[in-house]
Amino acid sequence: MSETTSAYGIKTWSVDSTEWKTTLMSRFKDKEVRMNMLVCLWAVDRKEAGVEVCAHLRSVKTGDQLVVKTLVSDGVAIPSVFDIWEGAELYEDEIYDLFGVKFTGHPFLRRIMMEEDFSGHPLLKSYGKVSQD
Amino acid sequence: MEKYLKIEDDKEGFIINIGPQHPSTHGVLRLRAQLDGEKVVAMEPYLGYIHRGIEKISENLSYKQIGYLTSRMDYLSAHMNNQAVALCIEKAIGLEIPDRAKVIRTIMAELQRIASHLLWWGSLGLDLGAVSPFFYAFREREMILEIFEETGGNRLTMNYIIPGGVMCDLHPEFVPKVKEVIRMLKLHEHEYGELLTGNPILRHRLKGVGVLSSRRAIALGCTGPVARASGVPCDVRKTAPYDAYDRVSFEEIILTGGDCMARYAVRLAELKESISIVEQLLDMIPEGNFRVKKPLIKLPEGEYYQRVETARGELGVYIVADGTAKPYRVKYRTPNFANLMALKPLVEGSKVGDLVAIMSTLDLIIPDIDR
Repeated sequence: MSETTSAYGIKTWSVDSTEWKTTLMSRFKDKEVRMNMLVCLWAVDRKEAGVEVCAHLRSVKTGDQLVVKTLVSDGVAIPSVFDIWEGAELYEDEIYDLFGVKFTGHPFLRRIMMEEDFSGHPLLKSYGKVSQD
Repeated sequence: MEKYLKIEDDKEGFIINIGPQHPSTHGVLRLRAQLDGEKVVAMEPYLGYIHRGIEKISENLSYKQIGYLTSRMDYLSAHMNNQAVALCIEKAIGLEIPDRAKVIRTIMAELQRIASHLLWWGSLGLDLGAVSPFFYAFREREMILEIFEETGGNRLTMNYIIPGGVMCDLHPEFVPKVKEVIRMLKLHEHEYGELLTGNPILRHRLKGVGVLSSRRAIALGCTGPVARASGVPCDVRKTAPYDAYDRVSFEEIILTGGDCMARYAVRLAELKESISIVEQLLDMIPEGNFRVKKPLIKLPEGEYYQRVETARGELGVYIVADGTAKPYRVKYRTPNFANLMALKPLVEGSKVGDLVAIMSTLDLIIPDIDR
């Protein structure tokens, strides 16, 4: 299921997008690890492979950290983790806005950085480059 | 899990719009609040008014250049933002910087923290209707900015800390001038207490207002003074020391009140700790080089992460490098973005007048949220 590597200098798990929420939920509920803080949720455009969504978890008590990654292919929605960590709200809004990844079960998914009628998702590599001039 | 309250447009009641040009939002943040009498029923923040796409622009810049943009995120913690990027790049290429640079960086970061907390203290008074504290706070802040200007040439967007060390050596007058600032800060310390801390009107407006429980602070991802006022230990300077923080002794200020008064007290206590850190380091600035010259063109392929403690909490830098001269992806985990999420639960159920006090003690810097 998940492989352990060390990206970002932190222990990293790569999971299938169908296991996204169950993995995060298990890290939150596990009494021993108790990853009770979602430090950050961000995405990286991996071009043809899809968009890589990453979650950086931390246990406030022990200071242990974990990064969980998943590849989301075009047009696939992944479940929101808002009901595990309230702090996921704006991070998921941001990923939706800038990468176009939809989160199911998010209470109020909207564009937060760009205006509401903006078309396209600017942080995708296919969006076009910022002019150097 | 708490229920997410949405604004219902068709419901009876009053919806007010605060910002984006409201003075108490300290920038361009817009809040929509549904009221029932004087009580806020639901509140939604609308951001993005100062979104400059710093992460997108960084993908087209060289590794040397991306640090300069970070001064424009949290402009009151510009030194710490630059430091985070510099540390991340140094970690990636395995660069060990000279001792002198480490100590200079730490002194600069702490001076910046003092200046930032002073500005917050002054503007808190301004938000709550006391005009004079602002002038008192600016007295010492101005002295610190002059020191920055003398050494680095800038007052706001510092760009002084760079990968490999610092941009230039300290001004010959640096140490005596910093000592003078510290003397003035200590001399005027009692004024802060007299002007605001002991003021009954201020205590009425802050005590018991906007209580954030420690469980909620963790769930929301809050860091910095906001989380520490709720009893969450999260000081990066303690948990993962960088630069010269492992050489100095200081206290991590943790209070358990969780209300506006606790957040106020944490910042004032941190001010004193920062003064003590600067004092300890001033006498031990080592001689030697202030930077190591190494051509920085490419980062080896991989993913890098570094966190620092800015004046408002934890700043995380995530760099994905693909082996070329430009970063593949840069992500900034900014403290204010997470702290903003605490605004909604704190404001809901409280009075409109308290909204300003809550916002002011969260100490939000809007360009840091929007990036």
